[in-house]
Amino acid sequence: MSMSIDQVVVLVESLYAPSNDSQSISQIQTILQNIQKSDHGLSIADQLLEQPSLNCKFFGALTYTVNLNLQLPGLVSDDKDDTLTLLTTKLLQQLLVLVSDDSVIHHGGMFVIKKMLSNLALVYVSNYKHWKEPLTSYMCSIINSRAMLVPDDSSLLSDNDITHYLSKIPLELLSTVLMLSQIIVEEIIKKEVTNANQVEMHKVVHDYLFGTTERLLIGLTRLDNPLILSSWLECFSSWIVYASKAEFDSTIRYNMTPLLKFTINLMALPTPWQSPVPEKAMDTLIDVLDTNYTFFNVDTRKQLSSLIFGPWSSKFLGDMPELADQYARLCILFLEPDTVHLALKLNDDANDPNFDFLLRLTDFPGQAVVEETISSDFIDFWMQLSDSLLNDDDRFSLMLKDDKAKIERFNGKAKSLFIKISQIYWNKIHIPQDVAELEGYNNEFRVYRRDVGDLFESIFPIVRTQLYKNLVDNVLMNVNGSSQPALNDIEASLYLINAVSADFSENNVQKEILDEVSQILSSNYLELVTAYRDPNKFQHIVYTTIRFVSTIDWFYKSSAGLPYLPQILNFLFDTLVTCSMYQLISSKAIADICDNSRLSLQDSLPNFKEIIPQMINETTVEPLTRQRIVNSYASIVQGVKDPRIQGQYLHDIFSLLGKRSYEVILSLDSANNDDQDKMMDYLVSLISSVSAIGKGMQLPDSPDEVYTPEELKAVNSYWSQDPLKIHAEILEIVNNLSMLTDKLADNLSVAEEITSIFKSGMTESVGGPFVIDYSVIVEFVVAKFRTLKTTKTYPLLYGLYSNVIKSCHREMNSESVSQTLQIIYLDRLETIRSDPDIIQSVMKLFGTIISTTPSLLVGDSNMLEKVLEFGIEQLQSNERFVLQSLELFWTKLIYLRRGNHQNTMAVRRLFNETKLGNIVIYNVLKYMLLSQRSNLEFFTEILKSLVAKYPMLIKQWLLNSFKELNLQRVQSGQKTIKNYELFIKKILITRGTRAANGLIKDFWLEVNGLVDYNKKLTVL
Amino acid sequence: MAKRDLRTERIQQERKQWRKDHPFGFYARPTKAADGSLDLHNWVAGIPGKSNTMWENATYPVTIAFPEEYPAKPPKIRLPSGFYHPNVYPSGTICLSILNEDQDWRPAISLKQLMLGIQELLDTPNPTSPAQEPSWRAFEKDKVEYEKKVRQQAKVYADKH
Repeated sequence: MSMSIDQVVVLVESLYAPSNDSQSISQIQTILQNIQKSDHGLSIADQLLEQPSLNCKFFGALTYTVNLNLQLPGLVSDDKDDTLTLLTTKLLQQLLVLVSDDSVIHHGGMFVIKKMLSNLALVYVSNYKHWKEPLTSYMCSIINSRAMLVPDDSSLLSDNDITHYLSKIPLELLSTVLMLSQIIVEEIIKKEVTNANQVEMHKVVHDYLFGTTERLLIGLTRLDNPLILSSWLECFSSWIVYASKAEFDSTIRYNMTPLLKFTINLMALPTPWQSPVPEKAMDTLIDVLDTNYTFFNVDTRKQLSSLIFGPWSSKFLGDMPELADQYARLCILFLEPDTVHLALKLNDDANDPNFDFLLRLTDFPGQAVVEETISSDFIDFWMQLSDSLLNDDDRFSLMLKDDKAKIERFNGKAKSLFIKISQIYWNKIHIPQDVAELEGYNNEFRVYRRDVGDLFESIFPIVRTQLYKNLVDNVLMNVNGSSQPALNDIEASLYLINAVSADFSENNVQKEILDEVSQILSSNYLELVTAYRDPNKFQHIVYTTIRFVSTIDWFYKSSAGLPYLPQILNFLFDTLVTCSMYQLISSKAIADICDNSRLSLQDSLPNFKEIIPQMINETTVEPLTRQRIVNSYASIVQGVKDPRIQGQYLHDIFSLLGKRSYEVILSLDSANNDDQDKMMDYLVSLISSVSAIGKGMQLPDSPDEVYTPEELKAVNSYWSQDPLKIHAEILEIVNNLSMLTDKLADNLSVAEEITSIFKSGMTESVGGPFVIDYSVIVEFVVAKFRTLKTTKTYPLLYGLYSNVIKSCHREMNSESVSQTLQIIYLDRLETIRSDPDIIQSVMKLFGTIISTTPSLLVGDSNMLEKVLEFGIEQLQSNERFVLQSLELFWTKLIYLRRGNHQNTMAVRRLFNETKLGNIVIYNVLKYMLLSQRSNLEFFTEILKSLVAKYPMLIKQWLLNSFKELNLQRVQSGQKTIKNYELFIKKILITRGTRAANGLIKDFWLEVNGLVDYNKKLTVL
Repeated sequence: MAKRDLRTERIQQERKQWRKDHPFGFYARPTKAADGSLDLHNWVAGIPGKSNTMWENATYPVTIAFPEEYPAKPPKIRLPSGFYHPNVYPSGTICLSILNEDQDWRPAISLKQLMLGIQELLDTPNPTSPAQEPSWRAFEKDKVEYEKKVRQQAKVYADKH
């Protein structure tokens, strides 16, 4: 493609013209890219650089970049030194033209110059072995006004050379020299090179390029020119990043001390600052500290330390608060790496002003998060300091020569420091009176408060009870002392009390802490909060108080705390029923307290009982709240030792639930669709309340731990008579919900809850409301199977029947189980086959029978035969859960560990005298070889169990099966299975142990023509 | 003071790194032993549900136990037992490849990456690695029921106030 330079210029200008649409830009781009990559690319680049337009000049420089990226690798690998030299000289020459052109350097053309500098950097990165001194070449070229490549061996500059160069090169061009150095190291960071080359490159860069750059930078320190100093700092920043990487990649070490000293001096200029240079110097120092703290040696650390803790720094809190954020970051990054050293400074009073300064910085004025972030940055810093004090206490003792007086003094000072810190943060976490101030920052402020809570938790071991006392005193002062208490003060204190309290338990809490909590609860605190519970007022105090009363669970377990339980619960109940907005959090607090203190709450039952009707009858109550409250109530009722009283409470609540659910069910059909959905949700919540009672009523411990022998007798006697017909009440609710209306009959949630209700009593060894005769549950299961219109709940029902078998197998017989299986299994075999979930649950049921009382299935040979057929047929499944249940069934059947003599003989006869073994092995092999690798484990286990249990017969079964499989493969044109004889020999040797796993896997891989890459790698 | 070994050193490092840079809304900290000292080998953490998902507005608590062989072996991270999610075992153990030493666990994986990985898993379960039946079944067959249950669970772990 041939095109004149004028045509190219038109295209370049069109490319950068603002009015062009994206489609024509894309077309122009394609044309220009082809030109760039053509044989004339470099010639076009030169011609474009000669054009007056900056766009064309830039595109010329860019065309060089494209060609360098294309050509450099070849030129370097082919050692075409002459071509490289020519190319570098040409680039230098073009650069000289650009930097000498006033219309470029002074009229917005710096971007073109930077592009040409980056072209030189590309050449350097590829050719550093032969062009070690790009900076000197560039400087000589400027001084001599022609492109010159300085020989490497004569180019190490002395300070005098530098002085000479600096005096000859105009200031604005000196900036471009620094830029070249900077761009080169940035280019190296970007470039990926092999390790060996990397080490060599880092050495050349250090010995030559850094040497020249360092001399140049030091030479430039004499100039007081903001433009140069700005370039100086940018160049130095890039070198820090590069040097850090070079130190990581190689053994090269950089001494940055002189450059760092100068940077610190730049920052140390008297404040307020007149130019942007000191601020830029501060940014550079922050970068250095963040990138590699070890660049600071003792001298520079001292220099920075005296600055940070000197009078100079006070300006950041006074004249220049806008820079305080940056300055705080500098302080933190500087002090953080050695908090042990900093902590030790506490010992010397001379350092007190330094700590005071850090405290003042932490206490920077303004609303935390919204107006200032310094205090947030300091949270982590203070936590690290507290960690050092706590974790390195041995070191401090050693440093203080185990002098008790000194150690005590040191600990006292640490305590005093952290008390001051706690006061600062106590202020900072205050929720503003006008919460709108936090708008847009609510989440961030919440996280800030949580972080402060963590800080308080961390510092508690240092400040101990003093911290707690201060917070409690503040609450009490507000409650007792003022007619207008500062609610946000109280809230802040309580929030932090909660943070600290979370770590206590009844075993480790100190008496002083218990006393402090007692003081709050014996004051009018809860009354005060109650008065402010209005949703339009300051809600945070209510939330934090609710959290407080549930956090101090250790308090209720002490003799001091026990008397307060009723008033706490009353407060929570009251809050729960008064304001819907506090429902969830109050119900959680009630649930937590009841769960922890059920035995201490018997006296609260009458009060508790009062809110139960509201919880059950009100449809607006959140289902989760209803469930929690009912569960809590039940857990206290469970603690009532007298079964007659217990029974009365339960009768009342079940009557309520039964009545309410029946009413709603009756009106369900006549309701409109929207209402029906809500009513269904409500009914699900009611049945889940029954299930929640079941959970709450479960014994928390073994019966002999909970009851005396006499009590146990009374309980069993009561529930066997069940005078209030509580079992019947529960069953009536269950039947109403599951049988009365079609709308609920197939509902999965209802079925889940009912399953849970039945399960809750199954494991109990003492009589109770949920301990229901197993035959009733079986009747329920059978009745459901007879009436269900869909199969959605089948798996749950099979699961429930499995649970019945597990718990009551001793009372069951083969005949009744067969009758049930006839209805729930054989009569619906086709339906079962249609759904893998149902297949899985059925196989799990059979697995359960075989692993608990095999005779229940083995005793009925007809049923067993049907089950075995099904178990073989399903081996072709691809569903993981189905295969898992099959593995359970087959391995349990083969080993038959729970079988009696009769069962064992029956199963043995099946394997020894019928074709069962052959058929099982054939199907296991067939589908194992077809299955995906992740399912291999299930077949492996079945195979292993057969090898272990039938070692005499397995060989023939395997031989027959492989022959049959190969015959089928030949008929269908597939490859036959080779080496199976060897596989059989090897697997017999394993005797079904774990060693068979690898063997089977390898065989599977071989037959499927796959390779185990993990194994290959290991071998390599 | 915890014994200095490879595990403890690495945990200290992770702790430092976490404090310096952790994703917004998450928390992770060592638990305290009965005597009040830090138990660096057992942590508690919270993972917020992603915004605009059914998991939002809740922070899900996890426990992290660092085994003796850490970082050669991954930490054991558990959600509360009975947690409703297709890839969480009934015990609360999370089934995630980066938490499995036989799969994608690498000693270089940081705590932050693990926490973000779990957060991602919450809303994008892997149905090919089911760890529990109820939620897996609902996720595969009845998305409406699944979402309802997840949202109910989010209320249990609601994080406002």
